[in-house]
Amino acid sequence: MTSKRDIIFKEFDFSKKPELKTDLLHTIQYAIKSAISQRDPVMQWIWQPSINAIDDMCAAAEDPTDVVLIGFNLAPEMIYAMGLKPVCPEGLSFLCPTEYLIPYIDESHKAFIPDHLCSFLSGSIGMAISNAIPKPVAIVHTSQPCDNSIAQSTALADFYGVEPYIIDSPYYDNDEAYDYFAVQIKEGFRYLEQMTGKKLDIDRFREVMARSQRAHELVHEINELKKRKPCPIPTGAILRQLSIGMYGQTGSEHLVRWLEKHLEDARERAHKGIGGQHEEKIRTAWIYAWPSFEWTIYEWLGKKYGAIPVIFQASEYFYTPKSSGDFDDLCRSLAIRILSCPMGRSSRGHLDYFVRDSAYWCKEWSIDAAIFAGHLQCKANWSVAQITKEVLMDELGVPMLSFVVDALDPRVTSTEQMLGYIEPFLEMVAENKELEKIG
Amino acid sequence: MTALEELTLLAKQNPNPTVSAWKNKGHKIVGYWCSYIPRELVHAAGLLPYRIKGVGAEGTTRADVYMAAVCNCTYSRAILDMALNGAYNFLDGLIGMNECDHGRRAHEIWVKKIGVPFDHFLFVPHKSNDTTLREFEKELLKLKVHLESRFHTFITDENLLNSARIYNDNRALLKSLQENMKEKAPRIKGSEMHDVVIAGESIPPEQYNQLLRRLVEELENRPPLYDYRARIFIYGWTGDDSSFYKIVEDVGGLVVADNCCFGTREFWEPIHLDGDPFNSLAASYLNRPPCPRMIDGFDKRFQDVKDMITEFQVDGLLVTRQQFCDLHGVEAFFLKKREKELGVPFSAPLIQEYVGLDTGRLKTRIEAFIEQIER
Ligand code: SF4
Ligand code: SF4
Repeated sequence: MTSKRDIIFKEFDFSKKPELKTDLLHTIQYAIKSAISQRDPVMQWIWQPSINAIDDMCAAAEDPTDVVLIGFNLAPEMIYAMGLKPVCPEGLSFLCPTEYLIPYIDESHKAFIPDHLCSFLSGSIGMAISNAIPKPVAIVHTSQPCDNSIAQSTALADFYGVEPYIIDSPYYDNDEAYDYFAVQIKEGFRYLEQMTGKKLDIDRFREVMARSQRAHELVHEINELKKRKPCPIPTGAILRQLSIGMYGQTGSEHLVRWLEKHLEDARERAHKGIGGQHEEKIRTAWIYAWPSFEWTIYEWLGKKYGAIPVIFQASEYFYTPKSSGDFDDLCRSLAIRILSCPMGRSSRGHLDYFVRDSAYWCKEWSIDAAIFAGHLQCKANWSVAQITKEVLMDELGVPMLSFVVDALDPRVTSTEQMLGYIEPFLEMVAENKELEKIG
Repeated sequence: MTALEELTLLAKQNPNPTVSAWKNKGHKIVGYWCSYIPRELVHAAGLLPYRIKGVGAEGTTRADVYMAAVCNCTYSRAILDMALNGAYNFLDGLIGMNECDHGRRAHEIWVKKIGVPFDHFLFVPHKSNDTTLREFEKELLKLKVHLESRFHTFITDENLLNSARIYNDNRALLKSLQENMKEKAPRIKGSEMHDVVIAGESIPPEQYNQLLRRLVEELENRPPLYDYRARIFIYGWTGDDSSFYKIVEDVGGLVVADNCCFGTREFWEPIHLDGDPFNSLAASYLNRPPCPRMIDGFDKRFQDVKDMITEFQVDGLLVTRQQFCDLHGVEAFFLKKREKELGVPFSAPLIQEYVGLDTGRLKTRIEAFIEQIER
């Protein structure tokens, strides 16, 4: 459909129900690859994390005897360290084309999964009960970031009849919390050894952690460059790819290679003093989630308002400490890494984490406008939105817009409806900026 | 007044009259959010543990500024609303915990926006094993030290043992009352029993023991209840309000058992006092009849339910929860897989709103269910 806005947004047709018991992994793989092939060849590297993610999952499905289901707030280092293959079901919800995903969400509701369960997770349960995900040999999860995650991991384990290992996440972010989590990581390795018959190879664990560490260092450097004006990233789409990589591939060689390329590109842009495709006028932070079913919206906001997404808070990582070589240290370092993953960090604990993180990103990255596109089922974060809004305005003078959306399901809030919220807000921000200039 | 009348009244008052009586004696009151917070520890500090409830809430307007009507449950919003309106100003302290996303946030907003004289957040693990037990003991120790320093007291082992015994007496008496419902013609209704449990959460446990003892005696003289269509088990969340039970009874059901928070989960297991009282307390709380917040609790819960179905001659399970509760929300998924093993029919989930309960809709659905299973 061509909107009044001189841009083509996706039109979704949910009347045709795709076959649920299909070879979903290869369907997603095909969809991702054909979408990327239509992009400018010079820019195609940007989407490499999506290709890596789906290729890895397809390869894992070839021989499911090594497949371990993991939660996306766990990250795969433990599984890589064991020489096993991680499959992250909610990652699949993220990668799945919208028209394919929606029927899986609906399918989960028919099986008594509540319709208020996070759609990332209900979508993954729908896939599991439709046999679209290979049966795993083990399931490793954590209780972070929220109740949705506890509900989903126990439902998946129950469906497959596989005893899960769910690490209990602490509430706070301190040494005691890291120790608590680290002990459970050790127990998690014992669980994986029992379930799979494989032995943990400490050298491989060390290598995986070194790569994970390197990935975090690269992200840190990229983030520092993002402080420049204009923000030296080619397109907001890269933030989503960063998220796919950091939630699902830390510890892998291909993520390190991609981040190196990302950093090189950002350095070059920063050196030349250029940003992305559109002139930067308003620096935006997407506080927490961001709608994923329509990526053209970010291009449109850039084109019309010069509104550039600098921060996607749910995929912004804090730097983590170095890990030394001994097993205890490696486990502790991994504990800190997992507990610092953005969604876990800002949702599992006290609301101040969310509020302070939001203020930190907005202040240090000189944000002009914050957008809280509140994921409909995100109970822990919706109840922080107002306090965050007050703090951003009182302390930084940054206005925050909030509205309801389902990040994956356009039936809740369509692209047109979203723009109905965002456009007047950005117009107001632009006007205020102009007034500030005049003095 | 009969003991039952007194207890029923206490369940419906918030704050109840024991609050002013306690305060008049110069004592302090500490609110607590969830039944995973050991009341014994608060009581052993010479304080009155007062369960935070939504009883008396008139709406959620003020809370809705901070929590979202689109996804946060009306129970937590109702409580926060009361707090923001000053209804809990009588508290000298408040203990929150990570019971669920709604509850923990309501607690945090309360503390942030209006403050409390003493605020403690207790981290309660979501599973039970040696590692989590050690962590929980550490957490309880922090709570103990915090209570002691704030309220200038010492929680000795002796005090703790004493408190545990008093609360264990509460539990034993409640269990004996519940067991009356195993009879073909019980002498107490589910809704009455629910009120009795609610009352006990926020009054001095010594006084509660006296009332319960009187109630046990009264029961013998109450007429047996023969006239019912089906024996019902309530599975899920009914909170601190007996409306759901009353609807069941209005359409001819007799609630004889439950697996609810303000229900049998609260009193089925005593604190097992062996060895160190502090360790006993931690272990007993982590291993109490598990709420769906516990990751590893379903198998035990399901076994408890199956046992009760037999013992209480249950005809069917009404599955219910608060709107937006994910932890209870996924329970029906588990039950569906075990339909045959359960042995009796269960309803599709009946969704409740704590504020603005849709009585008519629930009545129709419950009646339809009872028609299916009636004897
Ligand atoms: S924190 Fe929000 S987005 Fe993340 S899993 Fe929970 S509900 Fe979903
Ligand atoms: S249902 Fe569970 S989490 Fe909620 S208040 Fe009761 S015991 Fe606590």
